[in-house]
Amino acid sequence: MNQERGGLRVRQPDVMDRLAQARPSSLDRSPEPMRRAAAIAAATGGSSPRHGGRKSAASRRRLAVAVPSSVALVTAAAIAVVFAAAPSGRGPERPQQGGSARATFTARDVLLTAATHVASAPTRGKFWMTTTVSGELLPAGTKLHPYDMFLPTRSTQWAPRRSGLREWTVSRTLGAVPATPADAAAWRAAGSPQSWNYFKATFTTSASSPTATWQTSDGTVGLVEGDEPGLTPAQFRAMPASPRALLARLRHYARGTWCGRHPEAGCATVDQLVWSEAVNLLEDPVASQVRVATFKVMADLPGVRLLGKMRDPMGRTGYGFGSGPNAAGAIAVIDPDTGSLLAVEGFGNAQRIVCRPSHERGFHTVAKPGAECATPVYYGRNYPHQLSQYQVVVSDGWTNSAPVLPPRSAWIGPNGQRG
Amino acid sequence: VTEGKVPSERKAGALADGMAIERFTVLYDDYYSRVYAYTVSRFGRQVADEVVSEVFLIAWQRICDVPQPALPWLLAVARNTALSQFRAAARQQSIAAELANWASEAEADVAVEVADRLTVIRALAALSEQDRELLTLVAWHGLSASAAAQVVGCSPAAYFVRLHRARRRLERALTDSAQDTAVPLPHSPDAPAGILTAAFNEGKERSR
Repeated sequence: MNQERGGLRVRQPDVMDRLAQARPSSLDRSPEPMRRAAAIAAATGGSSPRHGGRKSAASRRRLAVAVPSSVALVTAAAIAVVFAAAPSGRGPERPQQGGSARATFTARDVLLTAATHVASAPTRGKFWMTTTVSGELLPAGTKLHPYDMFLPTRSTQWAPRRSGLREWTVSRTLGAVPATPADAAAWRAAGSPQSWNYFKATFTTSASSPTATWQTSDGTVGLVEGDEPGLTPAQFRAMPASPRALLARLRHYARGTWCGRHPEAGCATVDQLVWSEAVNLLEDPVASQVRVATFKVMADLPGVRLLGKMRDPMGRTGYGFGSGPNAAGAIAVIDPDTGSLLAVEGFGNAQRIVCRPSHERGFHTVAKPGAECATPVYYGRNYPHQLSQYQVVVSDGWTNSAPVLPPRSAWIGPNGQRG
Repeated sequence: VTEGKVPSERKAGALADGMAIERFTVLYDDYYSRVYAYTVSRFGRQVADEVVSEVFLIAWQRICDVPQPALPWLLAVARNTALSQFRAAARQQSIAAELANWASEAEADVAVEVADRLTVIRALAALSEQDRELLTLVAWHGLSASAAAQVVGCSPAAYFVRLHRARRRLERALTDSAQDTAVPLPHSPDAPAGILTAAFNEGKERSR
């Protein structure tokens, strides 16, 4: 196909057609199953999508235990570092050594101990009341001087026993703090800013006044992953109290999760999913016998690892557990002396998204207040060794007391209306 | 408000997350290959994996804001990500290696009907980054001019003008490439100096 022939210009195919013909076939690559699973897990496991730009209320969702943050591309190595690099007063500590003999207890031992210490609690009341503190890592600073702030939010939820009544959530942020000593230094160097914007929200280093969100209850009071709308008190009461039957039930729920329905994605094993469901159940209004059975199921699950004695973000002492080799993304902290779940902590995989206003050359970690982030630009790092989110269970139980609410001006209804 | 029918926000949130995961998965399956192809053709495969995974992380973060059709948006995110995260030198080296790959690929192809490929690839390599992008978005990635305009962040009218000019430059380069005078082969010893050419040759060496 020579351009010239005998001095006469030969009519060529259109240049764009020739270009199209020359497309290298090496541009084509279909996603391999492994890469696909990893990409989906990395994206969906690391962080929540932002619904319509609204910050998700920290109190509304539970931290996934094995689904799917356990598949965050942070592997067992991270756990090792959790031990080595734990900041003082917050991270796991090495298992205590009793007397001269080295402690040799296992995950199973601790979980069975927890099973024997489950306290009986009221099984009736007008409201299932849970108080949690959730923390999340938020980017702040500038491109040149980035740092991260940790934002804890305290929420109390009153879920009525019967549907049709108002379900209330009272929450307040407790004031953001620099995430690590290095972040604290960067924050101070930036003049210790008391507030900053991220996406459309403003965050501050001081506690906010509480807001009370209400909606009409559908009668559910807790959730299991595979049954997303949640379960009613009657359904929780009917939860089997024998470990064997409970395991079967949890397997059923596990198979109903996205990861359970898509085993080809390879995001978690059934055992890991069951572990996750079991941890969830520890936050639900089940009878104490069911909680005992839950710990027994957990004790016998393959792949559960004891990570050592550690303090939860509120400073309470418990034992950290991971499930399976990929569970570095989430740790459940359990107190064997009270038979209760203290916290679920997520490590690593926090992503930083920054907005770059298109009319400026510089980078900003914030969009202009009220402006949509037109060109989101991701930059930054993963934090494989660092606490990225947590949910602490402060208390839960049935109560007959009416919700304690802030003034009516701080109420937010189901359609976002005030009052 | 229908009593008992309104799911609580907590459960709605959980449900929405489930839907978001489904939506993301569909998005990934539908567009992964095309985002990858664009990223490789624009920035080279040395940086493509990193860029593409970041594109989908961003898509997840903003799953509710991803427009329909999603492709121009995804490609624009890929473009911004690569431009902001990789230094110019790294990008040039990556794309130069990529161009050398294409040349080897075309050379290795013995089919008669694709003999023109090498000529076209050489001509393409002689164009500027911007011209290559304008042309290949349409010719290789199947975007309409208005979708392509979205990717590069200009108006469709401006895109048409730029595309027209790029096309004329490609025609000229094709003539040169066919005559094999102005455009040296990647491994030609008299290749002009310059970071692109140097990296091009380097990439060529490595790809052998």
